[in-house]
Amino acid sequence: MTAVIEIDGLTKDYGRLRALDGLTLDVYEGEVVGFLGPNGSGKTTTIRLLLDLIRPTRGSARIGGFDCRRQGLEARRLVGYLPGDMPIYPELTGYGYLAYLASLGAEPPAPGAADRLLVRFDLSPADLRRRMRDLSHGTRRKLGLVQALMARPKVAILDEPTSGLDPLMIEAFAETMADLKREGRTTVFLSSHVLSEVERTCDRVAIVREGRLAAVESIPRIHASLPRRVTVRFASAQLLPPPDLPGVRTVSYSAAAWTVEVTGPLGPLLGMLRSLPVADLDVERPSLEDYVLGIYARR
Amino acid sequence: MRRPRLGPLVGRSLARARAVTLAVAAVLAGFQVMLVIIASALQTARSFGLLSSLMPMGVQQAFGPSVLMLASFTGVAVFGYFHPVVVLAVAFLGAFVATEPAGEVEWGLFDVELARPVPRRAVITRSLVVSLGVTAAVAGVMVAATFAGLALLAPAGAAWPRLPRVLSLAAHLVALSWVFAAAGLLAAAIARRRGAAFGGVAVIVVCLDLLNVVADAWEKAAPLRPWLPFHYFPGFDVAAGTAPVARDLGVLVALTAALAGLAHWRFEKRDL
Repeated sequence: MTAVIEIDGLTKDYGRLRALDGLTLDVYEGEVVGFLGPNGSGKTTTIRLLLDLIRPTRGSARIGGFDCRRQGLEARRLVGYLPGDMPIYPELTGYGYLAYLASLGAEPPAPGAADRLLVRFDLSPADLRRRMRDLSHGTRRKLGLVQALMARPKVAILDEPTSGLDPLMIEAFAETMADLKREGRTTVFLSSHVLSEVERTCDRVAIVREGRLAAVESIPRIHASLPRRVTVRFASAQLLPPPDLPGVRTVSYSAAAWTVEVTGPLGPLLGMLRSLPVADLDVERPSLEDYVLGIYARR
Repeated sequence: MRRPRLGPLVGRSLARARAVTLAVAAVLAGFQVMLVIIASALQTARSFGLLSSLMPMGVQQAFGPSVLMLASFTGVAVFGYFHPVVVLAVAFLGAFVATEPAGEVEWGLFDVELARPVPRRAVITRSLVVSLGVTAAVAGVMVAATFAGLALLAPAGAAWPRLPRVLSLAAHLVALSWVFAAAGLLAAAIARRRGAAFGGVAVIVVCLDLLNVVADAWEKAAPLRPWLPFHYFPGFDVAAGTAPVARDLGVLVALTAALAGLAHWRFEKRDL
């Protein structure tokens, strides 16, 4: 696999405050990576370093093999970027905004790509004729997504892409990510606090905490590593506690029900339950949230 | 793959500066016409001789014998090019337009513009070009207004100011405003707020102007003169044709170039 984004020991100090501390991370071609972390953990600082908007204290980053600092223009030719705080040109219409930003890009918008995005994000000609100052936060955000993706960039860097979008537009965003993944030509690096969205759209997550990389893991491996919570309800009173089985931890039990956490296959537990009067069985899938919150809380 | 272009950046910047530039140009053009009206009224009333005799000796000593220009039709007609309020207005306009990059940092616009393959130097060059351009355009409008006013309103027989002299005054005005535009650019290359950048430069402009008045009027402050940009726009001398035009314009343009160079260097190094 080819790394499209290579971050090597990236450190950024603001005076005495260390915003980013030796971050090292590779993002491979065609994958969608979620970049997660609590507020102030260094996500936006990392993204702004990649775009050469701020300069690193130490370390380096490369996009498509180009050093973000010394070959910033070449690196940014490959990038479509959606900032977290969406700046607007109040006096420009939606059309004017897209035309202006297209005129600054390395490539003209791909034929039909902007139109497809406008349709997908439900931006009507009437919306696009209005001045940006008159548009809602969500509509501005949709315009931001269109400008970031309209040139079909090799690398899309999206900071909080669904912030302010309604559920339908969040769905449209997920479909867009799915399309990009299917086409395989765009690598996506996105930061988000909406973990369900990250879980749905990303191949891997990288988690930063206090400026340091706390974890990098693929979504399927996260799911496999987390225990599932199993609740067993009995048809008649069950006086025994749950048995000791490998990978099974008892959370609580009563005569009517057991709640256990199972890491690994469910087979041994199900085999043991066959001899008991089970009325109902509830298996709760582990979520990314459990994993991420565990890392956020780690000291 | 396209090369980064300056045109769209300049176009957007001009669109932003349009309202304030048009407003300043309209007011200053109106002022030029008003001066022609005043000069015409004084000429018709044959009052210039009286004005000349009323000129206090102290004023003549402070500003030199060229101040007697003010007691002529030509002098009044061109006074608008070096009237302190006009000079400050054009200098403020140049500085204000040049501080645009600080505003773009403040409003986050560089996050979309410079996330594209646009070199940092392009936005500083753009603001330099636009600020120099709008001040030159305003001066051009003033010259046009002066001659339109003369053509329409000057009494027969009045001695019109000569075009090269008016152009020289306009060139001094523009070159002086360029210095403060470049100073605004340097402030914008450092500041994160446009208000701070422009406010700082505006205070400096006013202080330098006042210092120049003091240096002209007070012998002990005279050594300061060569260090003050306003010294290189001796309005009365330029109007009288006795100023070292090439030296003055050369110093002002060199100062502009030095400040603009510093702005480029500083902006290249900063966090946005």
